[in-house]
Amino acid sequence: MNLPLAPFRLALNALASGQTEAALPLLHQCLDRGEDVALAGLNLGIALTNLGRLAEAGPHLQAACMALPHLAEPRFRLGQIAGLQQRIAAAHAFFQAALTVEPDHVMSMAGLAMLEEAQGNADAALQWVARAMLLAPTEAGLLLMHARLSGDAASCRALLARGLGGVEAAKLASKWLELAELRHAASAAPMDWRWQAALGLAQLAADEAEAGLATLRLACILADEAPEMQALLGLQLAEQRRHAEAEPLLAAAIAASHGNAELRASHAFTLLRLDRLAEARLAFEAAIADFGPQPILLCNLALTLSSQGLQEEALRISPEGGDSADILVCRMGIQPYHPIEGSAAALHRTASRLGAALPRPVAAPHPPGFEPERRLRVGFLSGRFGHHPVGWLTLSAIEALPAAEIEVACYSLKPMDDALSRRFHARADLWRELSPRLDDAELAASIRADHPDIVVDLGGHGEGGRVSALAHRAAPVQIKWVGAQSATTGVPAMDWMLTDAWETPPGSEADYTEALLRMPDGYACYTPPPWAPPVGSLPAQGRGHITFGCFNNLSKITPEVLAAWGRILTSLPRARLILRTHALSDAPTRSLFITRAAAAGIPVERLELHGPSPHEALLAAYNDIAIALDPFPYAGGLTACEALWMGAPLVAMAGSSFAGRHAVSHLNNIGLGNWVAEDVEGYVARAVAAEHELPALAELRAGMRARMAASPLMDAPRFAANFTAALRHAWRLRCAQAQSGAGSAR
Amino acid sequence: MITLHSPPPAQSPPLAASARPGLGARLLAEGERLLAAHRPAEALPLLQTAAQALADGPAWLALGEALLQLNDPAAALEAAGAARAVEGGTPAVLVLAGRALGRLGRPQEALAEAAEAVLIDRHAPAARLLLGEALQGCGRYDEALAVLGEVWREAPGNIEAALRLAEALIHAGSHDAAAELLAHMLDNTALAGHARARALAMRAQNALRRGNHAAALEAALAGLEEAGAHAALHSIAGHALIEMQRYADAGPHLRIAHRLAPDDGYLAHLAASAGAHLPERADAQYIRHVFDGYAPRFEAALLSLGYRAPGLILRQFEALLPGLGSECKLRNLLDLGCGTGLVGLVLHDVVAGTIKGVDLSAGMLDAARAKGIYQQLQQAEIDAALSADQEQWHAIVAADVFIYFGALEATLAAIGRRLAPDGWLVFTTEALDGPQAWDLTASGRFRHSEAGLLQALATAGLEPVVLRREALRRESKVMLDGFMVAARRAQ
Repeated sequence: MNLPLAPFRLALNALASGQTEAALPLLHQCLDRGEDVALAGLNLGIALTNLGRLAEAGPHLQAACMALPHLAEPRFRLGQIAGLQQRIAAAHAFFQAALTVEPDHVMSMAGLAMLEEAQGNADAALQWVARAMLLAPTEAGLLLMHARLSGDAASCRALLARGLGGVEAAKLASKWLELAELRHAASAAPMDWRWQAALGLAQLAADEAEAGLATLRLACILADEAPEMQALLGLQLAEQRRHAEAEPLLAAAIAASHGNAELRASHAFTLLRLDRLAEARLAFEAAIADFGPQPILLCNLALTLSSQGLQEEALRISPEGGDSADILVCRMGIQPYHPIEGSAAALHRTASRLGAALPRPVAAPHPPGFEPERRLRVGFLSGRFGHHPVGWLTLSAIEALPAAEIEVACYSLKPMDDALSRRFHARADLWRELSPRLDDAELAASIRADHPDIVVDLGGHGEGGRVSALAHRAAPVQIKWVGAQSATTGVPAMDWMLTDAWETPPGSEADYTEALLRMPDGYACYTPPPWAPPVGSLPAQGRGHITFGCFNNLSKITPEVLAAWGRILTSLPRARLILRTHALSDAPTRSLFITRAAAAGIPVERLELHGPSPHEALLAAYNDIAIALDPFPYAGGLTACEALWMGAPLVAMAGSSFAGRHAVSHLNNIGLGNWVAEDVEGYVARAVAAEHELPALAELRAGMRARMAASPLMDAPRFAANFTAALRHAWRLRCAQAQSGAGSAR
Repeated sequence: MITLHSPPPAQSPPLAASARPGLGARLLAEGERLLAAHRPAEALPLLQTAAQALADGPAWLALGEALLQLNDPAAALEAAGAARAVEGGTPAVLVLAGRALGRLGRPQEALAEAAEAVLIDRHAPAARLLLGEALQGCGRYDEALAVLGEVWREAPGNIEAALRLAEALIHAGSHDAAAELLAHMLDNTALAGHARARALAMRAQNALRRGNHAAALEAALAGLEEAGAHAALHSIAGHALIEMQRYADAGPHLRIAHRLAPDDGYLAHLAASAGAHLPERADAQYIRHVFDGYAPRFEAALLSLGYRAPGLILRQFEALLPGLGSECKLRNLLDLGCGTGLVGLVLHDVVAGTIKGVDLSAGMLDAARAKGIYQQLQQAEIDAALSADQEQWHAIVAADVFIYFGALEATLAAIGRRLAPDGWLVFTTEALDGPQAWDLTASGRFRHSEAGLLQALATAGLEPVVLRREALRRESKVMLDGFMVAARRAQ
């Protein structure tokens, strides 16, 4: 009869056969029973590290250090964790401690080399690698690091040829070897995933996006879906915003190996973009627990919380930023939604800090010269020339710009193919697809090469927006227009903000780092989609109660908004409220929202929640809405226009920021300024009064499209004439300044 | 960010496909998934590797499909050949080969493949659609209509079948039936996206082909209103305006069409002739497009225009070589841009040896072949044909070909290299009065000036013996003025 194996022996067997998860309860059992405590603790720490559960691993490894003073391993593992958590000094100390007890511990030497490399000390790193290689001369990881540090393309080539070095070797090859050589090597070894991976990465770097992804897919299958290849492919797909395809790859890669903070952040971000908000939040929180409060993790967690409608929590967790432009840009994406910090003045403070962190290059001479009356080349910068708010709010105006006076150049950051993008193509005299991989200076230089006289930014600090790149100045005159136009950009080289007197009434100047280029009517020009269904009759008339609706993002629904809605519904006991937005398709987010709504006094039985719909169906859904309720302090932009186009008037509250006054501008431009409230009292009163105005409401609804179509909000020729005059004004001022020797556009 | 990695695992994924059961199948499955998701470029390397690893019919067929979608019919045809080698001529193989041949401008061969596929599987819609398309490509409109009509009647909801039928009706000149079918399709609001835009464009094209230019313009503009900017709709609007001689109005439409379809050489040429920029010669795709569409009616149209060039050329040779036909003959003849073979028809009595024709358009070459006069017919661009040619020609003819060339120097030099020491080059061009060597007219043709021709001939080492004005043919009721040129190698 065989004696049962002790738990520790069983655990070691499980670890040796790669069943890391299975080993955990056995190791815990050892600790509980007091058997093999020191080694069980060490192995538990290692196993948890390998599973990416760094926060749990730490205490066990600490205990192992005490219990096993002669062993380098626990010290090395703690150093590894500290490195992953960006605690450089601690990592250094742990590796040194490991070498003190075991002077020949190769992995700790490699760890020190990596720390030196990360800090830019290549020589010191090379010394550590050389020392380690004396002890382990054939170790592929060391050979790879040596090749990387010494910039040795030949060694990198040799490693790949010997089938060593994995994805890291492929990455090096993609940087150091010519594309032609990689093509040759990949076709000579068509089944070798490493060469394919190197080729794929090089193709992507050369902006051959489709070919690069294709080659990486091939490499991934050839590598039998090795986790490091899944991670590589998943990251590239995520970068190209193909989140649905990226997510399962990233999830599989993380499940198979602990991954690093970047991989975990990318995975969580794909979950966010897939509207799996609760999962995204958990993933970010877990990554923060394992890797520490790294800014990238905190910023994206803040974005997730904001998407769930938790503005307060989002801003609280969002890093202050110091002088980091990236972090401040992230904050600019969250702050406008905050009930208090979303004010124009508060946003100006953050934007100014961002501006101070951006470069201030000297303006280059302008080759075409400063002739005030000549035809102007005007460049528009956007990743959204198509079905997107930017398209619906700018297209008809750009189309109507007089060809004799304005040459239109489109700088696209993402190819799109839809009805709107084709119209942009049709109008553009010059079309450039720019790689989103270009850094800020390169992006500005690419635009500058065409010598545009004016560049108009249509992306702001939003996702995919590159207004910060214009800090390098791409044109003598730079103007911010639609596209995450929520506040001042803070970018020092942005000369003007295209606006109107409703968006930025006199006195707003102090809240903008740009000069205000006010249009006589509205700041945007709406194009309704041809597939918008006809406006239905007023739903309230058939039902005897008012149905309110809001189809804005949850990010915009603050506790104050919910409270106002609660008061409206309480005042009108039969009224209903319908919300329709992406985030509500996520069940936990939906439950969370219902809880918040109830807490704010909304009778939830009269609340109807829907997830996203295709555009046509979304518009059709307004036929169930008598009155749209605009959120605050971040108002609806395109959403406001769409509600109006579908006949639903909009109750809005005037905020102070640009984002807070979109609806103020739109409503005033269609002659419905009386629907704008100045405070919550007025907002509630305006909505409640509607129940007694049903005939007038029906009449307003029936005539809404005609009213809009006849208004400046949709009068493209009128807008284009005014826009041309505004552009000319800005250009003439710039010419005058050039003559007087001043450098700036204002 | 710092990332620390343990050294890579000791065992790495194996390399040899042979030792990897299932690898080919996984590559194929992923490639097919990407094809279904309309990502042929991303599927391509997977399918190429799958085809190497599996070397079976499904892998070659999927690869061929990706290549066709990526507009590489020659490679797709090779893939179809590989599929045929392993699994014989299944309907799927035949259809792939037929589609590739059709795209390569080889309609007779496409027809053969399609017919065989239908023989094997009488009911396969893909084979029958291809059969209809191939019959149409061969100018057999009645049969095409019968086949496509049958497919459509069996499955009226098959949008592709309905669109092909409408196209065939337009080609066959059944404009009322085409209009009725398209109106029926467009009444269906479920017809959306690209298919709807295609139907709208066909409605306008139908009016254009019927000669109702105003209706074509109206339909194109209505289509643009409904479907937004589409290259085909702008192109038809531009064509209609050209036909109405409203050249200035046509320009913007053609330029927009070119912006929307920048790779389309035909539109590039039209946009250029509308004044966007001046190309050095007409795009090969433009010429192929014009003549493939035109081939069946080309001769009748030319003859009805009082086309004189072939007769002028014969008389020119008779003047150059007294006694031609009775006492002497041309040793051989190279007919550049031979079209339907009208020059061969006129000259073949005075040629002793080979008559070779070169043309870009397969449709034109089919018509020339039917005449049984040419010993060799080559589908090629003229410069390419000349550089590959090894012959010394006694006579080289280019009748109304240089109206598609602006700068002539390179082509004339290539001709000079293929001309026998006692050989003759005879060609016609449209005449330009003015200081510049050549220009491009709103109708999309180039004109050359006398000075320009003399300069180009001299540069090419050719000596003009004859250069005189001749009326070439009627256009808009007036005779079009041109030059008749005869040249030989400079002595």
